[in-house]
Amino acid sequence: MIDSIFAEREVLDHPVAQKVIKRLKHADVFEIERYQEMFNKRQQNFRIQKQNPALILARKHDNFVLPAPQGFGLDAQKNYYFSHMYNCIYDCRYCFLQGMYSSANHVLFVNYEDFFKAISDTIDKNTDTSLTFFSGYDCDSLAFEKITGFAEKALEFFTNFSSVELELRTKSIVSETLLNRSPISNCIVAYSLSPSNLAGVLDNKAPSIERRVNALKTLAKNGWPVGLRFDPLIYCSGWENLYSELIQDIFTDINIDKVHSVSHGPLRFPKEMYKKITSLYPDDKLFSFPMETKGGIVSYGTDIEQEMSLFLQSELEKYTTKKKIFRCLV
Amino acid sequence: MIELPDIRDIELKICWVIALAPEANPIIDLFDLRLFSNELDFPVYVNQENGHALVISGIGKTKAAAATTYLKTLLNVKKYVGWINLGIAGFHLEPVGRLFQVIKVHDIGSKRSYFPGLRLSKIVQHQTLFTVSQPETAYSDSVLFDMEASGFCEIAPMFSCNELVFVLKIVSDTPESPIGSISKKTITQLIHQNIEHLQKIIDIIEKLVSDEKKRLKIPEEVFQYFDKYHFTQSNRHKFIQTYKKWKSAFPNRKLENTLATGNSASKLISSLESELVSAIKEWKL
Repeated sequence: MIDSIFAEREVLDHPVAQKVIKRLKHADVFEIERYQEMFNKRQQNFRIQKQNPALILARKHDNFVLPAPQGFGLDAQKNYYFSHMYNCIYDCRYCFLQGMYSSANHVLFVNYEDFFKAISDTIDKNTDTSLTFFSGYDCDSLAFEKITGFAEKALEFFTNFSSVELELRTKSIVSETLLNRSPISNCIVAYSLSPSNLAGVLDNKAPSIERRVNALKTLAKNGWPVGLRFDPLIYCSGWENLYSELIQDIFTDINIDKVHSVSHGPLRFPKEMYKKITSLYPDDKLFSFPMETKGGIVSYGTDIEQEMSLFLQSELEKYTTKKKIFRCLV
Repeated sequence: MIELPDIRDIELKICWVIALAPEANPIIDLFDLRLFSNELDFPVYVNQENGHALVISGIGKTKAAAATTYLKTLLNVKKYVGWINLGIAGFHLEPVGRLFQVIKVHDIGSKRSYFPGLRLSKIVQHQTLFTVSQPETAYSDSVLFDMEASGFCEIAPMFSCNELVFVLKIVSDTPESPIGSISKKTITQLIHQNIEHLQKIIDIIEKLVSDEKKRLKIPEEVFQYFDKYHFTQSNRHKFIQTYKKWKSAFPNRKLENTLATGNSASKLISSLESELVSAIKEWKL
């Protein structure tokens, strides 16, 4: 649990900061000027810091809403993302966040109102276009919900924009915020999934796949649209059986109408990011695989990617329609 | 004074930077440190057996920074080594003798802040510290005061990493127990009375150092190939990277068997790569 909070002086009185501090009543609170003085410092050791990350409370000043990277979205004409937090309480070995920031500390931007204002402005500018907003790109959307209460606010906000979709990407089974209220048809709760024994090795500190699958089925049963995200696809001996069983498990006893979309994507890293992550975990078997580097991207290579993608596509088509299946290429 | 060893032979785990001899003496005793040489600009103590080294910096942040650099250079300290600045500090609250891990150091002069060390929350209390240029007697903020930590924090992370740089301070003076009443003997006693607590902290830091050493160290078996074959800088790097992958994939295989037929740097690298590629079908995580 978080034992230290570093709060920017200017946000200490913000109601969200006050709530967070109250919820983490055993944590020591330290004042800082700007979060970057701590978060962006050089010579930080992400791997060691991850053993006991602190929470930084800060104000975000700009770039509240950004266009989603090409290939990230589903079928909306325009896709955007926003990050009210940087970093995640889980420690998944393939996660790009390990190579993204030099710090493993969590940053929470407490000025939620500015995020919603920016989202609102973006919606106003795109009235004739279908839009999806993604939360959970630089963090897990729900894992910290009991502390931040952000998803609850986001749900309230998106209730007023029924034609605009919000995706909450997560591995968390903390779904009370959702189950305690009526479902919102334009909010998709999207679960990152991989076969149980792979997740057991790679998804450190995250809920088991069994618990994630149970959580998503419960949400679907309660009327929430759910997304299935097989991303990244992890290669190993017997991967076909592992993914086939996982997909079968998920589609058994699920309200199929509530499966909003299914996406799958390959394991890929920008070259520099891969270098950084592998230097943090040189002994990890995930990184000893003889990856290919092409166009600045490190991956399993076209053959394996293609084979896995085609397999997933055909397995998924046994249970759902083609139009709900997407290939993510970020 | 000990006979000067070859610095390449010293396997250090922890480097101590301490301002005054009365603060350093309990640590020198605890780790049985011996004077490295009495012809040095800063007194340096070392124990090659347990991997601890200590430098006495003198008072002030500039001296702390200089002594840190001096120790690093003198002993060719490796990147995985932990650094500790231990000393006494003023505080607005009693009791005298309380040990803190400082997790925010603010330099009053430069207005810069530092956030050293993995926070060892389970075993030691945390505090903010202000580094000042003159002893603080007004105790005007509810923080610790010292005269060295910011100099140490400016430099030490460059030689290791921020998470292996620790600032540990023991309260020596408060408004009720003014700084003027502290003797050398008192200072030594304050450190002594925290030795058990310090030992627990050191055990954790040594474990972190050991893990970091494992991550960064290039195993000895690799070096024999550098002596035997010509490696360009780029091949050398590639060989190390491929070796690490290969070792992680096949922890029980012997390098000499895999590389038996190689007679050049590029052939050695491709032998390792071939074994990795041939294992793809049966790849396990």
